[in-house]
Amino acid sequence: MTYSLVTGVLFGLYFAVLAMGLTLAFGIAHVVNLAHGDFVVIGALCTGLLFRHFALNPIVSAFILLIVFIAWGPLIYYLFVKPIDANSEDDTISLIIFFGVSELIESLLLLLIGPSPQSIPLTALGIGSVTILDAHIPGAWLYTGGLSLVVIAVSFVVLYRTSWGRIARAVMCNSEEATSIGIDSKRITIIVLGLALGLAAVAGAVTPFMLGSVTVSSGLNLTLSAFLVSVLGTIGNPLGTVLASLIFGIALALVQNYFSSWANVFPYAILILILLIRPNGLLGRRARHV
Amino acid sequence: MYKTYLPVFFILFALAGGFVIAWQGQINISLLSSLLIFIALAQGINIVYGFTGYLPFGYSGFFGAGAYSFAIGVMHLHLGAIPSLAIAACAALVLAALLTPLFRLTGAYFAIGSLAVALALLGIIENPALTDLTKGPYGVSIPQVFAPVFSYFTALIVMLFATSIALYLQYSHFGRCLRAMADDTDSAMMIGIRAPRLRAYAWLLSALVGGLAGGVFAWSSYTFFPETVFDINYTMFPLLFALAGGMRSALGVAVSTIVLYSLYNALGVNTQYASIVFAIAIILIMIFLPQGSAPIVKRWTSKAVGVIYQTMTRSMK
Repeated sequence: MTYSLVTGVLFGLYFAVLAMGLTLAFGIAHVVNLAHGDFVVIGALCTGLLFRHFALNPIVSAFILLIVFIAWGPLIYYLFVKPIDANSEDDTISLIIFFGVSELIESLLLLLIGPSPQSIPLTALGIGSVTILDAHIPGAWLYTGGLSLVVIAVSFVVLYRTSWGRIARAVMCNSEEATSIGIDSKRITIIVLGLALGLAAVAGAVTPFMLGSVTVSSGLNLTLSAFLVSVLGTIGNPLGTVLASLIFGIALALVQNYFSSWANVFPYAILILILLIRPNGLLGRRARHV
Repeated sequence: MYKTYLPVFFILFALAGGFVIAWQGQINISLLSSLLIFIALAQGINIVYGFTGYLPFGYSGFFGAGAYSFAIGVMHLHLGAIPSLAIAACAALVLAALLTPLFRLTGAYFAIGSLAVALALLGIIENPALTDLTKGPYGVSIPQVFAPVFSYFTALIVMLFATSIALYLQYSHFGRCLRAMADDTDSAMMIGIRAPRLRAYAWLLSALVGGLAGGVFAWSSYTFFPETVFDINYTMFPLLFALAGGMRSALGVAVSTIVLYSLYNALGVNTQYASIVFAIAIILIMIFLPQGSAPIVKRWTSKAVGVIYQTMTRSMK
């Protein structure tokens, strides 16, 4: 029980980082990034590569990847977001495009790396196990949990304590009104997309430690987990995302412990239930449409 | 208008049937069956996405549910192929009826919700705890009903059924109501269209097509695994075919499926390259041709017809 709780909290922090990028991109840039999980996979594979060839600490490579991936923002914006801005009231078009992007990344990675699972030894981060409240957990998970906490804290500071964050939140509330008071919402969109990719890469650096291994095709599952957490915590609400991640992490750990054969189905079942019962999430107020 | 199209389709049906009988043994019937199944699936997606605007990202869920109910009908109830197909259709309909509340969601939420349904079904069916019923992850084998020519004809009928529904929606009052709702639900409801009910009908029809297609697939391929029938490609490929042909155009969808699926099989030496090409194609189509190719082809043909008509009348003078 305590083991489930402790691992649940650690997994919850991981899911928070995983979902933060998706919820920002969806909430602020109005981009349904179905390729989010594939960027996470790229991050994980790059981390593995850096560790194997340069013995680089995964936490260091997480920060390198963060910066490298932020630079991808404009590319994604000009290739896949800008061309459809004209008829953007229908978000299914952007959804299909990003599904195509996801398929593209998956098939390119399959060509380059092959279908076998890629992992990084846990000793890359820390040796031995740590005892928290009589639960023995791998020492590496302490580092991943710490990294997740730092990343979450920094995102909160950026969003709620800087003028840039205030502008981004204004765009999220109403991009037209934000534009009318002189905010360059295109620039904000590009930056937010970059940040979302960067956060995906950081989550990717942590993923091999949390899930054991990553395969080329695990992107879709990661996207759906992130989407589940974002919806549960209300799209575009970072605080809700963190809360929902902790709840989901603990619930998943409990299911894995007590009904392990159903653990695969559990996230999807929860996602369907949330969408049907409370599509606006835990902290949402907006009414749903007909 | 659909009344003039339908006879054309039934003539094509007769031709396709005669083709297979005449060339039996020299053509790849299973490839033709899967082409027909893909046309049916593309029309099924056309029915939901084209006419209601809701993107069924988990359409493969109906396909897989149909395939597995067919297999269960054959394995456990010891039924023949046609009764099992009826079970597959019923299973898809029940599933769709259970999922109608998903229509409360809009856009991306609906799409991802239905995708989650398909993945949850896959998780349930390949669960080792249900091995007695579904054979779990080890796959199903039902050679006792295998009949390539008969199942080909059934696939043909399913395809015609799907195409007829799409044609009907294209030219009937029901279809016009659906299109009005897709363009502006509030206004459509204001003039007395019962949006939720009609949308549910379209959804059930599309699920019926998906379930039948799955059942025929199970019949004609007689051995398959959960990942085969719940493969997301059974959503992605029909979606791509339908988008390339032009949503809301039954003929465009059918023709583009025939062309693209044949191309895919001709190129399909290495499926990895094929999936790269298809991913790029889906992005390019959504960016440059969101309406599909049907409107362009229509414009060209009407222009060509106009030119021919003008030259003919000029030469008459």
